[in-house]
Amino acid sequence: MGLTIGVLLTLAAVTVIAWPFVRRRGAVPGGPSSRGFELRRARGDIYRQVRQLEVDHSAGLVGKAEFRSQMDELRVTAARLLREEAALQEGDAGQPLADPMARLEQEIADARAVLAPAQERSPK
Amino acid sequence: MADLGFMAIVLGLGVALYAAAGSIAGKVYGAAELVVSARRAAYLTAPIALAGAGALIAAFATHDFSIDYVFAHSNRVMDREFIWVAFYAGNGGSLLYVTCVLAIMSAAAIHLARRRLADSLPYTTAILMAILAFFFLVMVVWANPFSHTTCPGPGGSQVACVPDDGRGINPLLTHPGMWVHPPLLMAGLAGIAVPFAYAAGALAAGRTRDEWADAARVSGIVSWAILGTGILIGAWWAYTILGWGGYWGWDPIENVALMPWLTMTAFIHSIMVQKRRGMFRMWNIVLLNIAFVLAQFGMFINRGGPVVSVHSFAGSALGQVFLGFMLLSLVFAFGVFFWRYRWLKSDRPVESFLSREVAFLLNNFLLLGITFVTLWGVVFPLITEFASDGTVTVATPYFNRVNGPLFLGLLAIMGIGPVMAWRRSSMRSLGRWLLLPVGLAVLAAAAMVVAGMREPLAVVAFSVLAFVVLVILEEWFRSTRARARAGGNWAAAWLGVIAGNRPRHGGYIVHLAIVTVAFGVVGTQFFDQRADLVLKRGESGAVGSYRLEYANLKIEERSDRTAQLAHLNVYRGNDRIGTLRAWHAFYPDFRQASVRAGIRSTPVEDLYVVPTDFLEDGRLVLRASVNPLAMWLWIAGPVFVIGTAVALWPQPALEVRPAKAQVAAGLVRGTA
Amino acid sequence: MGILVAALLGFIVLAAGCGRPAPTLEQRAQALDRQLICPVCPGETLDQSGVQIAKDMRVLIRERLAAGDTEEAIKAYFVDRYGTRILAEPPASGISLAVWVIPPVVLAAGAAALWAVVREMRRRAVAPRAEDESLGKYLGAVDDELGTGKRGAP
Repeated sequence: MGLTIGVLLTLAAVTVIAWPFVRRRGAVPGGPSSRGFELRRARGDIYRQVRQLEVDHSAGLVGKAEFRSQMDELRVTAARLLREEAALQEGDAGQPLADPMARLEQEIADARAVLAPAQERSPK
Repeated sequence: MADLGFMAIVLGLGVALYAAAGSIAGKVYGAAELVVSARRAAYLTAPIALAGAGALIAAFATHDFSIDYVFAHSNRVMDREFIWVAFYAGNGGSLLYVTCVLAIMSAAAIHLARRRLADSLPYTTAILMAILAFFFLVMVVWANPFSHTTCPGPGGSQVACVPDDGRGINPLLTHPGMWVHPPLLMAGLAGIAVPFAYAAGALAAGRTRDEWADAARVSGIVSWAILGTGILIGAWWAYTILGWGGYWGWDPIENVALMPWLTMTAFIHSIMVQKRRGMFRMWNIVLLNIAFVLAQFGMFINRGGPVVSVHSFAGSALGQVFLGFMLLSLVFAFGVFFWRYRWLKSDRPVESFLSREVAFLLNNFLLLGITFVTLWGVVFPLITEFASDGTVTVATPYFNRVNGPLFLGLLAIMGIGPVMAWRRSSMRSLGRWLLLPVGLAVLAAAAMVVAGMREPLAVVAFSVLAFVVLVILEEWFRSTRARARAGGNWAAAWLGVIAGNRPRHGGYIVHLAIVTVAFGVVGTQFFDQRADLVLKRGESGAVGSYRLEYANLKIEERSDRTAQLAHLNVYRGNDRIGTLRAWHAFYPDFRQASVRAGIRSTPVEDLYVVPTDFLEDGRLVLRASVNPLAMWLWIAGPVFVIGTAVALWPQPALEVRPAKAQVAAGLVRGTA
Repeated sequence: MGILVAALLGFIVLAAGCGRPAPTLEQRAQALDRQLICPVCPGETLDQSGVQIAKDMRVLIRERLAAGDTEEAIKAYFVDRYGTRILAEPPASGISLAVWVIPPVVLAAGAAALWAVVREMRRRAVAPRAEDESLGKYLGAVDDELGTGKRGAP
């Protein structure tokens, strides 16, 4: 019986592995649009750190000088990310993607980026 | 069953190799279908490995002694529940377990990162699958769990046979701790491959921004937590079953599990600096490389046997194979690192000695220092064997003496680190922060001395622990008070503080767990008392403030062992405060004794009793000890797990407008 | 203030060290048990091991201590019979000196390197970095998105 299961397992494995060659589906996701998503995510991370810094400052955990210095650095980092994202979108605009599947995926990714992040501000 | 099992591991080898090669080829030549196919192959390795494991477990359940592994690790009288332990009791089976775990973790790692790390994922897949293929290969060629049993035949040869009964399971493994300690330990060590693969894959793909950092952090913390829990449970196992009242012997096998854990501890701290300030990128890659190579070193020591230990699997030619793989890993890891070295530089320097960055650097320095000392202690006896005639032993006293101060320093940093600000801390704010904790800690030290504590090191250690706890409590107090001002009770406010920054506060809870472990360590190391008692029935002897009376002895015979259960009454002064049962068994087939200590545990101290000898005249020889604060070592376990869970609990994302809308608004406003 | 704290702590610690009761014979024997390795066990001290030879050695230690031998003499006796591997800590002489010397040397070197690196970074950091002009409007957009928070505590 063990041998039978083994043979079946092998056949199943070969089928699963060969499937993508039989049924072609198009480009693998990844590319300029996901870079923009990544930049937005990083900016969101920075904003969360800004909120946390404000909370810490109001609780007296961070002194005035440290607050100013950290806040400035966070703002500059966020601004740089924003600048890069803007440059990226300009570059994107010049080259519409030829492959319909990839274009659809880009639109989905863009829509997700606006809608998906939970609409919740961390409490002050 | 042997057929299915062997087919599974051969199939697994083929599929893993295909997955590795296909991922790289598909990525390099832009063949998308090949990449997808290779990814599916990677997912497949999990059910294939599980099929092999299922075959082995079924063989145990049906007492299939035609398989050598089943013969060597089970018998007909064995309780069925120990089949799980027998599964990984030996070389072949534990390799199969590691393979299953690694296959499952790899599948999860690939699947969860398929969108965010899409660019580097084929390389990550290839790395994980190459490691997996190695384990399959070892099983197929050198450590086949499904090889046939052989018996001595005519003329001194070995012939295939099917014995009636097996040898049985090693008695040291028949303890509840053994259900979780080896599986967690091996899973934690194997899991280090995942953050390593994320990082090395990102480097290979040329993406040296920070996308891999989040994935590496989460997977790193998960495997670090699993490994840490496994180590702690192992200490508990040693405490209750090895019979000498200790929980950590600086055994080479223990050490090789500790070293990757320490390195990963350094990583999970240092990655925070990368997330917050974009620094230490190179160093984080180096840490992952070191951790991964040390995990391979652990496999080599564990299965190659150049060092002697209560733990190791019997020495075999397998050692050279694992040594080779470890060296290969070393070359590959640092090769990729130096290839992409320039891309990892950060444009931000350290600005002040009084900064959280420097605190993290010190934390890393001490952790790696302890790792180095431990490695040196493990390796040194081997060096002297080669270099000179005599051998030296490097055991507990050495490690305690050299690592002790480093651990103390680490605890001190644990207290100071949270107080430091990023970039630069002013002396004024540091002073404001530290006044209360330091003052109270010094007061505590004075109080201990006045109360009669005469161990200087213990006084210092306890004070440092108090300091660490006070710093955390101070931050929690201030944050909670600020939050409660806005309305609501303090309990809700505190929970809100924790939930507001989960990585940080989860980290504080983990720090408290470490403090708890240290608390138990200091108590048991400095204040333990021991007495060897020889008692007739009815007689009693003293240890610490207790009196132990030998009440009764019960003898149980089983086909594979003879066990004696001693009943003891415990007195303090004239009051009887309880009874203890201490158990001792001898297994003739294994020539091994096994004990279960009688332990009476209170938060203040453990009363620990083990029977060591049964004399012919009916007297009982007992080893009794009082271990202060031992219970806290185990209380730390759940606290550690809770802290890790809080730290990993995902935080909701903040709303962020896309750049187009942003820039339009910014243009309207002009410059800031 | 730091110096005051250190001095205070040092004084307390010193006080802790004094006034310790002298160790009993059994305590001295137990301490010795932890410093000697069982000859036939894999890396276990006499304290940890349960085999017969370890028990015999523990009895021997107590007999000799009672007869007035010092700890050093007893250790030397065992080293004579079994070699240096009987000691749980390598002696601080000959090749095994390396086991004691190397860690402090490596750690000191590491600390020195760390200090030098941080100091060098600090020197470079003192010169302020010029912010690029083009960042201005993006800073404005960031501040806008952060709302009132950018000014300080709400």
